[in-house]
Amino acid sequence: MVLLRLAFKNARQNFNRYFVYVFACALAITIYFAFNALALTPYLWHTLPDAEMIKNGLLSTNAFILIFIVAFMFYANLFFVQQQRREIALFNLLGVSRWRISGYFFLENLLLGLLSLILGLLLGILLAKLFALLLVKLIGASISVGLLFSGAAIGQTIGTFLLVYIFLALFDAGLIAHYPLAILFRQPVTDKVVPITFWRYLLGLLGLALLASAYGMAQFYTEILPHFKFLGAAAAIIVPLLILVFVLVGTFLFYRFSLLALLMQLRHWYRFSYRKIRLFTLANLSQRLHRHVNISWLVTILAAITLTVLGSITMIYTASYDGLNTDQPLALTVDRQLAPAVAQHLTKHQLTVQQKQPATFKVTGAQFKLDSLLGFHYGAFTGPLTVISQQDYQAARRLQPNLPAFRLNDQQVILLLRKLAYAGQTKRQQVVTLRLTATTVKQLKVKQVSAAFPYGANNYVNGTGLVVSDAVFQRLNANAQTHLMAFQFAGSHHSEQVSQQLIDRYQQHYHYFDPQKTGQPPKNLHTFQLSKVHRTTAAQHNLPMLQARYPATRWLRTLFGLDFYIIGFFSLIFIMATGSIIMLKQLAEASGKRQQYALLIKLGISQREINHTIYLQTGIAFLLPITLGVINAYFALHILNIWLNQLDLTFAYLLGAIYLAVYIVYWWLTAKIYCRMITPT
Amino acid sequence: MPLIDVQDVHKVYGHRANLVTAVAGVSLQVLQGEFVGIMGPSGAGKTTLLNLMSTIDRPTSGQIFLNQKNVTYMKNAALAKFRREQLGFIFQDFNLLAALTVRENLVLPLTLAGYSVVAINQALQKIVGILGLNSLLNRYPDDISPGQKQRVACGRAIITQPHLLFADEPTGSLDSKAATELLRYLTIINAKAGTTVVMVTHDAFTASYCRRILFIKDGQLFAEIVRQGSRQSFFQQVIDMQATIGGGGRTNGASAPGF
Repeated sequence: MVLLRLAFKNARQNFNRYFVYVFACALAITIYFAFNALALTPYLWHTLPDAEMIKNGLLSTNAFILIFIVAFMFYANLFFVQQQRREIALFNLLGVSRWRISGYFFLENLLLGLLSLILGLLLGILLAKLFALLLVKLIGASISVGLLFSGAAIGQTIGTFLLVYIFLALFDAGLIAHYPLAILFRQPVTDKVVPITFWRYLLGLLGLALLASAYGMAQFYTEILPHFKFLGAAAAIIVPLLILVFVLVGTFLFYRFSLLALLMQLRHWYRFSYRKIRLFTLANLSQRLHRHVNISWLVTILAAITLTVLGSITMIYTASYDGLNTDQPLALTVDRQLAPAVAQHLTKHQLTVQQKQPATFKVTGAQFKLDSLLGFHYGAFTGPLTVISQQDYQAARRLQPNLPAFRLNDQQVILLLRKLAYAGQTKRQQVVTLRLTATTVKQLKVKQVSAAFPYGANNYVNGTGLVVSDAVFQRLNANAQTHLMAFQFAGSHHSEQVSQQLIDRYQQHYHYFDPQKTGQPPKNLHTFQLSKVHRTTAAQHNLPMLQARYPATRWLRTLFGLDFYIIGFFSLIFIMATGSIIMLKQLAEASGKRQQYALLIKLGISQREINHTIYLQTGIAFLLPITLGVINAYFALHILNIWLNQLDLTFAYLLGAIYLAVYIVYWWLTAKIYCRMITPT
Repeated sequence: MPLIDVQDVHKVYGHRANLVTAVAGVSLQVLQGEFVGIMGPSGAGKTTLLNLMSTIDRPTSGQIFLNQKNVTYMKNAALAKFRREQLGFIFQDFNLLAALTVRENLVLPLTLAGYSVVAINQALQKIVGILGLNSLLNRYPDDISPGQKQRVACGRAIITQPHLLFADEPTGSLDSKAATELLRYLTIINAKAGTTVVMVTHDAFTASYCRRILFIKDGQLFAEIVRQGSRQSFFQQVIDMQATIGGGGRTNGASAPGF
């Protein structure tokens, strides 16, 4: 009973120190619970075709969240034990047995844990509906969200965290029981001076050099890539990996050595340092930053990773959407033999077809060589492709107004490349000559390369096509010929459903183009003889007879909405946890620094100036890692942008701003408490 | 004109139910260029009085004039400036900043006062010469001996050439050799630069370097002795006075070990 009272009293007294920790834990539990509640409420998603994806996404994120929270709790607890070692030693000296002291800490931990669990659960139950509404909005689903109260989620959350707390408390207790008394009594060294030796200077310089070269390589990625041509196509992977390693090592060296060397140089620059309280600020800052090396590095890297992932997801989202516009710009494209049945189905489900358009495609073998921007996207092409006449192209422009207009003579073609949509613009393009396997048309000149496919790249063999003049199209004795009917109608939940029904009905219907090898292929190239065979063998080239746009748009929306949702909340936990750790570390040293600040007051420094230096020091400790993280993310996204060519960073900017805002609140809170702690009463 | 003029100063700590009077109506004056000691048993109020005189603490009642300026009601910012420009401090536990080198510790008061780099370096050279700190400039406080630390603290206190130097048990943590050396420096500073020194101590040997000693007991001035003959005879006088105070029937702890 005495033990319980003591634990309770101590937890209450140290509330200032614990409150941030409890709050961060509670928030993490809120998110954990809400995700669980969302995943375990079946009525919410059962109307959605992607219910399994959502459920699995939420549950697997929860596993990561749990790992992260447990790591955070262990770190914080180790820290608390460190902080209370003198009390532990004193109890021990007064004759209280180690196991009793451990019991006391066990109880204290359990109390704090229960407090954060109760807080987190209450918040979670209150906010679960809001969480659900946000997700529904992000994935663009039309679901009405009622009250979300999942007994299973509550039970699961309580069970999981009780286990974690008990395990954590036992760990602490074991730790305390094995501390030697002498070590406990030793005052933790907070004022340790780190001498700057020659080697440290050198490593500091190396850190800066690594960061600078990584940033340089990222910024001028396309210019330096040709210098790594000897690595072949792997260069595109090896160079970014090299940059990543440089950043990881460089950032660590930067925090461990460069900063110290830099601050030391500033101290030696008397014109700068002999000003008011600067000497003191610089010296204190180097001690403080030195104590924060690991956490600063972690924050920088994690911030960079989350921002990069988020940025790249937005890029992939935009790119996927553009890809979809290339692949399937029209609501439905079907083989002409299926068209009457499809039209009937659409009428039956009251879908108004806005436009209908027939087209004829020919398939033939072709060969050409193309150099693109990075040298590895395209090389030699040899294989079958689809040919369309200029007349059909013009007809398609009525359905796809963004198709560029052009005129062709009988020697010219427009080369359509799907990869172009993903791979960036082709530069330094010379005139390309195209050879066909057809006997009637042997050679053509490429007038223009384009990624805008009439009727969508999904209807082109190999995702590659040619637009030729009507006369050439007539003359071309192709290996195969298909007739297509395009339907255009508006997108809605209803049209998504009807399209999905059609896909389900006709998903077995394919055109198969069976290639037959003739003779020995020259080097790694091979040529094909094509013949059109319906539904016979599993062939190398095939095209579905029916393709629809809207189910794919829904899938994209769900996938990326879920991704944004998960990353948004996960990074919130990350930012709260790391912010709390930096805050705790700073406040822990405050009590030890009281004498220093009292001395400064005696030396004639006003309280205002002291507060100013504290705000400055805590500010740098908080904002430096997050700023460096943002810089790292910027360069990572710069490279990704070269690959994906679609930079929409709104969400990443938003998240970066949220990181900064949360850290600024932490900074303000820390500085305020710090100032109060060192002000003599 | 006195440099320090303390007029009927009281200092009371604590709350209504538990009031402790640390200084109970002390009045004293210190003239320019004096070397004054304040002695008394533990808990007599020596350090409190020193803190009041040095503007670190404020009296509950009474007034204090420093250099004819009433510092009792001065605002904090003005007091900070006043301390920075006019006063120097030496403490028993040195109070050096561990994160700063000896050089940085020494120049700190000058940087705070806004001196130019040239002026700072000149002042530094002068102090380093007087106190023999040349070889220690780039070392950190944790790497030097207590005697050296106190010399650095002393250098920091006098580098601004203050009118008034307050020393609170400056030899408390030093061995006899280092203590003698420090007292010699203080005497030189007092004699040559004309700096007024006010020193709190409970050690008779240390006190014997002063020209005048004020004895405090229970927060009040108890006696005053002035050195007239040699230091040895003054030392004897101090011992006698300590015996007299101790003879009042109170336990005086470390200040009167023989009783």
